[in-house]
Amino acid sequence: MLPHLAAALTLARYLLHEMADAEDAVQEAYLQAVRHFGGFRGENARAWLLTIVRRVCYAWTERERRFAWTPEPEEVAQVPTADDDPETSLVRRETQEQLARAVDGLPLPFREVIVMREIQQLSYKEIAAVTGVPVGTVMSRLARARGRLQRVLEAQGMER
Amino acid sequence: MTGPCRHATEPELGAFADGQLDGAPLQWWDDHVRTCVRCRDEVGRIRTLGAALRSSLPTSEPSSALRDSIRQIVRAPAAFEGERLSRRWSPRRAWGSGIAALLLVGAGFGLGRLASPRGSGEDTMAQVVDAHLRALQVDHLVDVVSTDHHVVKPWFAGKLDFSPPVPDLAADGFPMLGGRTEYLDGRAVAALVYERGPHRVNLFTWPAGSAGACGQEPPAVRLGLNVVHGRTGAMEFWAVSDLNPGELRQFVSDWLREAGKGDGRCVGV
Repeated sequence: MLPHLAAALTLARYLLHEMADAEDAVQEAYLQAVRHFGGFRGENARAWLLTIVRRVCYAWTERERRFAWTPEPEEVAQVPTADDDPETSLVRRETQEQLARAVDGLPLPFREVIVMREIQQLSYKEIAAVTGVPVGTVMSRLARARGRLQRVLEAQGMER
Repeated sequence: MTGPCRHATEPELGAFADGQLDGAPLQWWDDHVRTCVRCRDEVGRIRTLGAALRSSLPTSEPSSALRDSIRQIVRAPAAFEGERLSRRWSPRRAWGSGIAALLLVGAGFGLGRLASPRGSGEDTMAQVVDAHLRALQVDHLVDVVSTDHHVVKPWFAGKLDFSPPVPDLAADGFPMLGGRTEYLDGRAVAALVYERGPHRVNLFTWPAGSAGACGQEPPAVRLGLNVVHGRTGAMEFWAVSDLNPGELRQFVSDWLREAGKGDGRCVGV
């Protein structure tokens, strides 16, 4: 399970925002994984572990009543108008920061599918298994999350 | 340049761009994007976004302390039996930030330079917890079994290049089980084992690098165990146990009082 530690930590960090929280959640998840599940017997250890990590993060989010964490939409839509660098093949640093902030500002159900798909490159089926929703829901959440993030990119002049 | 296409906003187009379709839907989209510029553009936009996200979003690399913790958990989950989620989290929040503040300010208890730099302190804490768990697991708590500190203290002579304080705390409700040597923080150290009821306390001590104040920091929580760092002036020590934070503080206070006897800096601790 150790090879999946980075993936587990990354997911926890995006779900809980704080690294210290993420580290706690990951320890708790491993403990639960080892203790309650009597070892893993399926074929996808990473998805199985991420499922537990996500469950622990949600339980904690609930406990901390962080449900109401909502982003400022304006925050991600700030456009530096004068900056019309034609170099669109590279994502500029500014855009990267805007994107990272936009992802952090996504509501939890959208944030988690973006992280699992775009960073961790899980298949739709795996994401469905981890989040416990049908593949069709994964698809529509991804589409909506991408729509929001697309607007950040466009505001940065990435698109022609 | 591109006419509207009602398919361009369908969630399934994302699945197509991600290579997640098969069978009839895959066939349909394959055919469709060949003729629909708008949807083809949309696929490009989705992939551009994906590439931008991968280059923008940091992944988190686990620290070596976290790796060690996880290894410990995977190797011996039984050592954490009885842990509760709530216990693991709430105190750590409070104590964790308290410790961080203390380490930064270093003045809360008048300890001055008691605290190690945060990084090495964290690292030592991880080693301390690891040593405690290892000893419990392999049932190797003590090399010299004795409740008598007059037996334990001389036992260390010849095994260590210093003579650790070995206080007798039976009267305080912490009878001694014995001692052993450990290798911590790059050196051989003394490990003293005390008990209270079913709980064990491992106390690791070695000479401090420089003279300093006398005192203890608030307990930290690692893997559900409480850990206290402190100094007797001349000696540095760490105590780790599954005792609750209050009792562990009490233990450390008692230990400090006895171990610091004769050290002017420990008067009144």
